[in-house]
Amino acid sequence: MTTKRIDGVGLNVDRLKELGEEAFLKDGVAKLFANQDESYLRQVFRLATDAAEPVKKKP
Amino acid sequence: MATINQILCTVMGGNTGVATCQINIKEIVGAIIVPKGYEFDVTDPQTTLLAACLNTNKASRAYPLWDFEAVTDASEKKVVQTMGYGPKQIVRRGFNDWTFQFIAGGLLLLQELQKFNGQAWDFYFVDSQNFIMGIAGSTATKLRAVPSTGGFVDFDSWTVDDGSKVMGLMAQFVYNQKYLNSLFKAVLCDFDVPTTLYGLQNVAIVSTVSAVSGTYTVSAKTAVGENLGDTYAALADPALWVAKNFLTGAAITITGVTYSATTGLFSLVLTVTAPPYPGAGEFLTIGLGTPTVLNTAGLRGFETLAVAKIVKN
Repeated sequence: MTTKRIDGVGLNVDRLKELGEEAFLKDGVAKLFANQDESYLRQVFRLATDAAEPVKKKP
Repeated sequence: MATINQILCTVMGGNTGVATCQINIKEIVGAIIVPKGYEFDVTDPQTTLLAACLNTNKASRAYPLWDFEAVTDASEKKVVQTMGYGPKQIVRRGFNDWTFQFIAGGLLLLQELQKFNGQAWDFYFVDSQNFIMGIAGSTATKLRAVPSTGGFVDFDSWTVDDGSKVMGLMAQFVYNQKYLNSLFKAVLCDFDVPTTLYGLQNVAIVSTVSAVSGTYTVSAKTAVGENLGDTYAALADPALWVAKNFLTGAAITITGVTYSATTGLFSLVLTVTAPPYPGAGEFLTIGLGTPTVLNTAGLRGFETLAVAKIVKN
């Protein structure tokens, strides 16, 4: 099992990858973070899973 | 080859030359209690014995006991018969009976040690120079534990603090004196044995009510009430916890863990896909990983005594 601790929360990286980013935001594990801001939680997910930032479309 | 009417009758004196260095055993500072017949390879005693101390199987585990501070020698003298004309004949050698006093661990440790009473366990002694003492093993590189006599590794008493001396716990070892005499073998370790090999502390996992589906809050405390969360931040790691379906024993994936210093509780979020997640009204259990897993993460010497049994929320 690969794990990573972010902001005091130990995360099961394998499980997070199974969940995917959108499901992570709704999962109970996201509720463990004191900061419930969506953009923050997305950063957490990407940091945990080493996912690259999605390429932003040019305006 | 056996021959009728012949015994092993060899005249064999011992050479009396003295080397520059010699084995002199110093004060015995501890013992390692091991299963009957246990032996270990002395090639790498640190790795081998530490693994034995962390063995998940309690019946196969080694149990180190340290901080002996005094010894009472109540060994039996050899039994000698004085014949009618005056000569003396040795009837038999006596049994050693050594009782060590220690303080560390207190009565809770004594209670744990009393679980050994009346059972068959062997032991090694360790002296202050890091000699581990036993007897010859099955091969040239193996050191076997000293066989106790009639399971006589005993922990049944303590001395009271009378205002002039502190309370003391007693560890008594009785064994045939030949084992640490003519059959004596020892290995000198290149590491400090008492601080390297350690016993385990019981940890109780207790759950509190959590209304959030799939999220469970538990405390992890030692027998004296030390909250592991306050000491070991590393415990906020899903790899160090085990959640199981109580009915099937199937492992339930733990998605995340965190510790709240405010409440003193861990929150664990489980994957609620059934199975293995239990159905309505069924139970799951939450405990810590094995002593080896915890040790690797820096939590030295802990084992879950009682897992939390929780109704699925």
